[in-house]
Amino acid sequence: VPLLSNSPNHFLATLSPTDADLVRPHLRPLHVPQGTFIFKAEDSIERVYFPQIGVISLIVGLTSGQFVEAGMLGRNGVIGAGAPLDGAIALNSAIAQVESSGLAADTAVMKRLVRESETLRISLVRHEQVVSAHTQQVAACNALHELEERLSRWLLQTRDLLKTDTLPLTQEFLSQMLGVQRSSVTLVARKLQEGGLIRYRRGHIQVLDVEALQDSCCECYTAINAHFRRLVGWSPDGAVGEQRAGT
Amino acid sequence: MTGYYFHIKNGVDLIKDPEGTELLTADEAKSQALKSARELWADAIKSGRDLRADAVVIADEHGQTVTFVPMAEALPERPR
Repeated sequence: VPLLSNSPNHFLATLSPTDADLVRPHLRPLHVPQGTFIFKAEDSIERVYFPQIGVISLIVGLTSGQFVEAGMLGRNGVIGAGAPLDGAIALNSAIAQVESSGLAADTAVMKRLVRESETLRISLVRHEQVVSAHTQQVAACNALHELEERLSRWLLQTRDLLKTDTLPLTQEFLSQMLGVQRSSVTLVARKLQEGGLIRYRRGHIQVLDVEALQDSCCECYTAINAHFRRLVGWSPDGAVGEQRAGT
Repeated sequence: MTGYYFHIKNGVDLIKDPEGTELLTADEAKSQALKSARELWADAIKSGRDLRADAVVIADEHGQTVTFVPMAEALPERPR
């Protein structure tokens, strides 16, 4: 594993040199194909995953078989950050919304490391907190905001994590994540397309006008980014400087 | 499994479902179209905007219309 300060994963890249040396020998590459679960609700989380690319959705499943997305993470976060902090039972499910690869470490090992390093522990706590802040914002958004706003937010978030304007998403998947019927997505996608904000091709959505898409969002896009900036020092454009735990 | 497409008819305009979805039976497709129509109503009512749909049209993989659900059929009954 190369030096972590250059890692595309924000958590790894912002570790102090001492913490990076602690963690680095225990990291191994992990590839998660699209649609694969990293863990399911109530599973024991065996490893902590640091995505470098791709998008992981945190989803809440219901007994009907339906599920709704509660949040998404990628290069900005940690999947299972709470596991080494004595929270090894998964509270929700994590699935690769877009094929993902990154680095992973065993929960047991990370648990040992956080006892050695207070700053590493704080860093994981912050990342667990930002997931909580994110999912709470999404709960409010899902309850009160219109589909067009939510879909716009969702597309921008996915674009930020993938750092590309071409998003490999089907409308079926979008409708599942947003908890709506396919036809509702068809209508909104058509409206955004007519406005020149996106272009839809089979299985792909191309973002054409980022500013207009930001205008079409609810406040939740900005609010979620503010949480990431404040808690873990991450912003989509990377303009905010590194913020290390404990500083 | 069969591929079904859920287009939205709005006047002379047909807003096409670009992807379709795999379902087991035509009944399942009809029930999904009904749910879609209800949600289109619900969104229009909640947002106070015009309903821009006349029907949800179900088409098969060859583009042939299987059946359709007129928006009026998706409204709830009013028991008196």
